[in-house]
Amino acid sequence: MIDLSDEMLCKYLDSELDADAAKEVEAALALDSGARVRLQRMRDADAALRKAIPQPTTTNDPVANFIRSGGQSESPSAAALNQRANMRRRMMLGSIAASFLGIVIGALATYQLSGNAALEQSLASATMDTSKSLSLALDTIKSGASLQHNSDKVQMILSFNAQGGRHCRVFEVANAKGGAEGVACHDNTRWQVVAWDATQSKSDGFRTAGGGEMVDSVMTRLGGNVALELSDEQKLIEGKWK
Amino acid sequence: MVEVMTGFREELVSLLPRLRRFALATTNSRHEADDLLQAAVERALRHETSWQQGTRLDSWMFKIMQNLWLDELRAHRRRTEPLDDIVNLAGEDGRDSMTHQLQFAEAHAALQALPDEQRAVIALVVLDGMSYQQTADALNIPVGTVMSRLARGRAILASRLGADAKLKIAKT
Repeated sequence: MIDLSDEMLCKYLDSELDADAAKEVEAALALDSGARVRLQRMRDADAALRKAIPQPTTTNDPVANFIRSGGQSESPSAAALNQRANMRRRMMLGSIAASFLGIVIGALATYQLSGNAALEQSLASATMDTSKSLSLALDTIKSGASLQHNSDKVQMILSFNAQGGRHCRVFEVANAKGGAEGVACHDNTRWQVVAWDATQSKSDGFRTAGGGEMVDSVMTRLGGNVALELSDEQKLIEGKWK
Repeated sequence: MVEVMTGFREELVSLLPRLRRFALATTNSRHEADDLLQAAVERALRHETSWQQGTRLDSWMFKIMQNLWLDELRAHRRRTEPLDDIVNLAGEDGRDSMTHQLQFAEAHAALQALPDEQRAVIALVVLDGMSYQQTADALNIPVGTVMSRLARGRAILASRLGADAKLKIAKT
């Protein structure tokens, strides 16, 4: 006799059994009133969920235009999104930070971006040109913008204040050799790269499990839970990050 | 290349209702659902050229959304928001009757009581109607894990919604 476990009832409910197995379940159910009650409760719960959270039928979704423009148009409901921009950017920070699987903040904290040979050696896939591109982008462009310099494309993701008052920026770099994500912090004189991960250039949005542990480490270490508003960031750009 | 991009964007647009419902089921409020969807769409557009025609865009998008949301939870330990915010969700599509508000609030509260991993499986299988294999692909977990999470999640939901859901459905 087939075992009417919850998993088996689920498979029956979701039509995941072949015809013969489904008949076996039905025969077993006829003899097991307890299983019939469990199955009915599952059906009821499913129905309640589907009724309570139906698929939206809106035909004029504001996100649709945003998609069709390839992300070039104003984001949907700009005012509402602006209100929530901080949360969204915090989400991105979490996302980016989660991918720093190979991050070594303490070890890299002494490497300095501008003209420091140690940095060049430490960033295995970064060239001197890349560090120049990165330095220029860190200094001058706002979050969301990108800078094409020589063969490098640098995109700034967001800025945040770390504990101790340092201003930090999350960035992505791409060139013919691949891509990398990182974090740099300004110490009132120059940028320091405190995190660099050239392994996270996957484009499918998927990361392996375990990245979240590094998120906690990064967030705790830098104390950067809240992204800077664009207006505050602009002031820092104009003030040369001091 | 232009045709591929157009196909990608149009398919993404066609997925929006499903993606919105997944976001609603996964997050704690309408605002969070909007933000999650927006962040996922922005990420997808950034990597538009890398998408291969013929592969499942829905699985790719669900994967992106799940990762973004788990990252958000890890980073901020977000938990449930005040019930008022949740109840307001019932205004979606004009379904703003008190009955539906209560149904939504109860169902959403039951979902929120589940661990995030179980909630995602419930959302894809029960709400979206995906097969176990499709769900496994989207969440990058084995089919066996889908089944165990689904069974545990359903058992919890049944204890919260199943007992009296039949009465409520009969009344409406």
